[in-house]
Amino acid sequence: MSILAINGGSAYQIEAVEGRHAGFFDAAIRPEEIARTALAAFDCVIVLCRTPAWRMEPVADRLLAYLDRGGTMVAMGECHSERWLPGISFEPCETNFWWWLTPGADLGTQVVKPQHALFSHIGENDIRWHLHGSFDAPEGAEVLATNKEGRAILYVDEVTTRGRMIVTSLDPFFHHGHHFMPATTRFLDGFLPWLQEDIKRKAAA
Amino acid sequence: MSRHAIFIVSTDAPMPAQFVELQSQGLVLPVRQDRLTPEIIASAAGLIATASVDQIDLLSKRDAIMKLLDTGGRMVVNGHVMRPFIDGLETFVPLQHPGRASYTLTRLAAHPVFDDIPAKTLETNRGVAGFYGRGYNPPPPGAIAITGIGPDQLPVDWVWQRPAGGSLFVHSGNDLWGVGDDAQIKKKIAERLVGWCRAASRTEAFA
Repeated sequence: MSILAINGGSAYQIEAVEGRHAGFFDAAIRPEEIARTALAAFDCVIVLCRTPAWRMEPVADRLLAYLDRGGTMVAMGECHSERWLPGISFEPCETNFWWWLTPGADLGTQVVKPQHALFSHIGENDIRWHLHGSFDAPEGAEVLATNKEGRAILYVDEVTTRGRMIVTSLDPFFHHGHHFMPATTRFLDGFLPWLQEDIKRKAAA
Repeated sequence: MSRHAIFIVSTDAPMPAQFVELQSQGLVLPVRQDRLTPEIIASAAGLIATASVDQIDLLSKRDAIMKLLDTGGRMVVNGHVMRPFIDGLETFVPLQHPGRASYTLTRLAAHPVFDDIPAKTLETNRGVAGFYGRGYNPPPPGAIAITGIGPDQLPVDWVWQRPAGGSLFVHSGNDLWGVGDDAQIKKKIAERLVGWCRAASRTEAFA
């Protein structure tokens, strides 16, 4: 089982693949290298936070072909994945970076499937920093976390393609890579081991 | 003053609002990073890179950037250097003990970008510190530290007049036009960074 990271070359993306979590990635390539890389050699392709959509759009067909062969794609936050993956309906929102300054305030994020294996690695506090938007997840997708309006902020879609898309509007690699926000580091400390276990389980199935 | 500065657009977000008026005056030109050719680099007075700039790409454009600098051009670098893309830059050093006391700012030297802008006004956003910087890009010998961070006054901002020509202005944190709470100061910083780039004397390049 192996994970390929798409590294756009910003400081926080380089930190993601070379820093604390480097061991989770078997290889890292630039978006422009996707066109000449045999994606099928990898069980999972993860596109890091804030990868510009204009660098992913030219390889959308290739990603779809990878998914249709049963691959797993992970699209992190601020990537505008709706522009290069199928079936994604994203709605951006005004980001409130300051909600936590108000005593008693609640961002409204919620784990809606606590029995999911991911949540044996992370908890409610590890998905709560701020939001950049939400999704209208496709019928049949597994929604794992939502915003206060009940819209998806993290879901798994195994219905749109023959493969699997793990889609989130959370941007932990950005903040972790900028040495910000401990919750984002905790998220990655749990999310990446879960991802690794999950693709191992899927490969064995 | 010579020519325009180039703002390198590296994400899906457009050039920030603080630069729009300057663009309409022809003083700054946004260029998407994948379209930043050696010819476009050579046409500028200076370059402005954000904290999201693709440093692997900049490293591949090293020769063109060095040539711009060698001929008197200037470059503004924001963020954490992870791939020293030109000579004189070194990899970012994060603060060893991050925390409120580590984020205090001290002005160490005057610089036109910060005229009448006390370091304290940029230290917090809505009372929260840590946006300005979380460490520093080590300056080369001969650079002048402008702003120090933390009790050790580590060089979070510095300027370097290169012996070979040209200058670097390095801010080792979030984009400088986005820190603090004062919208007028943010705009002023954007104007001054563009002005600083345009004050380059690129005689050789334009001869």
